[in-house]
Amino acid sequence: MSDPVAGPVLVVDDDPAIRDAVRDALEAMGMRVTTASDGVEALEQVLAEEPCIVLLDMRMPVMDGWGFAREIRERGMDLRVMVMTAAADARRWANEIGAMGVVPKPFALSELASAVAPCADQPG
Amino acid sequence: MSAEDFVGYVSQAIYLALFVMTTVRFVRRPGWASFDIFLFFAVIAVLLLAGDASDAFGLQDHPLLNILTWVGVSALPFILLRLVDDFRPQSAWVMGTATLTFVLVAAVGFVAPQPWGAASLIVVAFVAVLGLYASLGFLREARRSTGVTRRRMQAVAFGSVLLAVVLLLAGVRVILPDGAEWLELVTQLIGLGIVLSYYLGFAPPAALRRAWQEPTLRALLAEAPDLVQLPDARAVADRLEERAAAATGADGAAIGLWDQNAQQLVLRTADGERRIASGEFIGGRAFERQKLIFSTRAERDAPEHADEYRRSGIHAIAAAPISTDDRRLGVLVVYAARPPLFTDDVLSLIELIAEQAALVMHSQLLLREAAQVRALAEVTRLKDDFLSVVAHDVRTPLTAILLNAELLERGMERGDRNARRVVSLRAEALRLKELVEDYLDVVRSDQQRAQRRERHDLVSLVHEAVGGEAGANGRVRLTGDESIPGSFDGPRIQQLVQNLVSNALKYSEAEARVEVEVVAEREWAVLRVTDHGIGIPESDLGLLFERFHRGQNADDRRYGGLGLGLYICRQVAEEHGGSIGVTSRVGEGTTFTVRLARWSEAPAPAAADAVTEPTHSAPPAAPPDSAKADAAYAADAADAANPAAPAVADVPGEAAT
Repeated sequence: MSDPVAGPVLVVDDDPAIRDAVRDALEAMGMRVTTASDGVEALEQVLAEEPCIVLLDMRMPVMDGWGFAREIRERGMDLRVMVMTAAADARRWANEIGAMGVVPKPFALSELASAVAPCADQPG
Repeated sequence: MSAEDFVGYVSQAIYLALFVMTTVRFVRRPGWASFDIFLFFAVIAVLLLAGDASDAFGLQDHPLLNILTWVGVSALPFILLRLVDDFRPQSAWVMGTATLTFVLVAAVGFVAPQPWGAASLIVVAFVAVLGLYASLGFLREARRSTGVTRRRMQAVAFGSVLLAVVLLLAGVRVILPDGAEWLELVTQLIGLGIVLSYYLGFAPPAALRRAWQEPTLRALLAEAPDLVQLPDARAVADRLEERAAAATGADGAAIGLWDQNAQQLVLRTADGERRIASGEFIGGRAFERQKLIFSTRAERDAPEHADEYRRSGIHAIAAAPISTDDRRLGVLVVYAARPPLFTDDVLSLIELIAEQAALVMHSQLLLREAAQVRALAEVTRLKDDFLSVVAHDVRTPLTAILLNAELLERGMERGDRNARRVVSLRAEALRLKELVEDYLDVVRSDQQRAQRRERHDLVSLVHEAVGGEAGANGRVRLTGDESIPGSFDGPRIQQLVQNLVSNALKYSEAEARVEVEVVAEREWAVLRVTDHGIGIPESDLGLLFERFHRGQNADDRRYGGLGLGLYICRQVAEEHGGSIGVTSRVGEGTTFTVRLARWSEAPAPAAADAVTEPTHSAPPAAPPDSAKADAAYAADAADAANPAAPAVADVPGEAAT
């Protein structure tokens, strides 16, 4: 596995407003960001370039967060995943898919920063 | 011993047993019917003893014994006819003729010279005719009645026909003294048939429960599952009324259902319903005393209602309470114009039907309650689901709004005119977020909350909530135990701590310290938040923990929220089986004390009140409206009526400091 810290932050959310705002915020922190609007797109991104961390919304069309997590597991990939959801069950879902933690919506910039802290050292 | 002798002894033994039983019954329940039954078997016993005596003492053809036998034999069919009359009155003409003929026939026995020879034919003819007539009467009544009574009637009718036949045979033997040996045996066998039929007809129910009551009871029990499905107790009562009347062979039956609210028994009548008080009529009396009451003369036993009983032609009434161990449900009343012939049967059946009714109605109540609980649970679940969706849908756009506002704010130059607008935009969005979260917290069901309790260290939760050592610029000082493990709803506890601490900070001087103390007291954890601020006027303390207190204080907008802050604190404390209290002295400061059960039980799923009223415990004394709690806290200290005395409020009654 290549150095994961080198990879981008992958933001997976079906809501474009959130996708854009999170990308803007992360880029403002000086991070490289890729986005996907559902599990299938996210999988393509992951296969193209392994991300440093995945911020994963759970309820999405086409393929949801659970489906994405299953695909990743079946491919034997070991990714950092943070569940990013507005649902009350965030923590339980995170346990279900073996994610590192949760970023409950809505969140402030500081909370977003601590969620992606492991990737903060990546170059430009 | 010859076969006919053996059969004869068996018959005699059964007759004597029946004589004893019917005598006992007559003594216990005197009445014309039981007297006639007793008399019938007494006569048979006398005849048997007379026969035995004549054999034993060589008194064959003793004139007195002969006369006794003559009178006894002719009395038997007459008594049978009286029994038919006891059950349903026969015409006066029939009864008069029968009585007269009996007296005449009996008189012939005294006057006719012995041996009678052909004169015996008078007795034989009388017995055959009257015996068969009485048998037909029994058969007719059997057809007209139902249940146990019907089966008993049939047995008695059968025995009576056989009796007439055997008496006829006896007559034939008198005329033909050299009759064949087989005739003797046939007579004895028929005699056994008679005695068995009479046993089935007349033996008390205890000796015959299986034979007679089982079919009826089995039918009733088989019906129980259907009865439970009926829509309400009245429907069950209607069905059981029919069954009770049919099973006992009574004229009718009525079930009075206890109306708890009106404290009355409600009976269904042809033209609607009739309400009677407990203790009124025989039925009400049985209900009041909670025991079976049997009256053969209702107009005498309930004189205050004699007119009504007389008008309706009802004289015999049996009433049994319908009750379970802890609930009085009603009363079963079975009535008839005349007392039934077989009272013990009927009474024990009535009691059994009443028990059956109680069981069915009780099951029905339980089923209905279970259905209600299920419905409530479903409503609660739907509400929780709905709230989850609302929460999700509101948080999602807020996420983008808040992030963008924060990004904009960062990009603004100082002094930019738009900067103030962006700050306001973000502050209001934050306020919206908190309002929504508060609101959702308040209406969330107990069940949902209980699911969120897990093992936590309370001290770490509190530490995290106040922002660690550096919390609030170091103004918060955390003291107490090192660690207090327990089952807590982490986010809610933190919300409670944050609410109390932010209030404390808000209402004290800018540099003043706020003390947070957490200590374990056996199964309790006690959290104290103390400030040295402006204090709370006594008049406001009582309202502090109420929901949605809108402030008259014009400045309350500054503090945001629905006035839910302290209400939520109280809710969190109560969810953890605890309480919240406050002591305050105006101008000196305030201490909030929260007691939490460290290992509180989860509440029962779907508490009934969770649906109609999301927050179950109405406060002990809830004034309709008053100053918003948070704002009241900040209200002008000079308003305090008695600034010297420490004001204490405590919800919901646990000791505060």
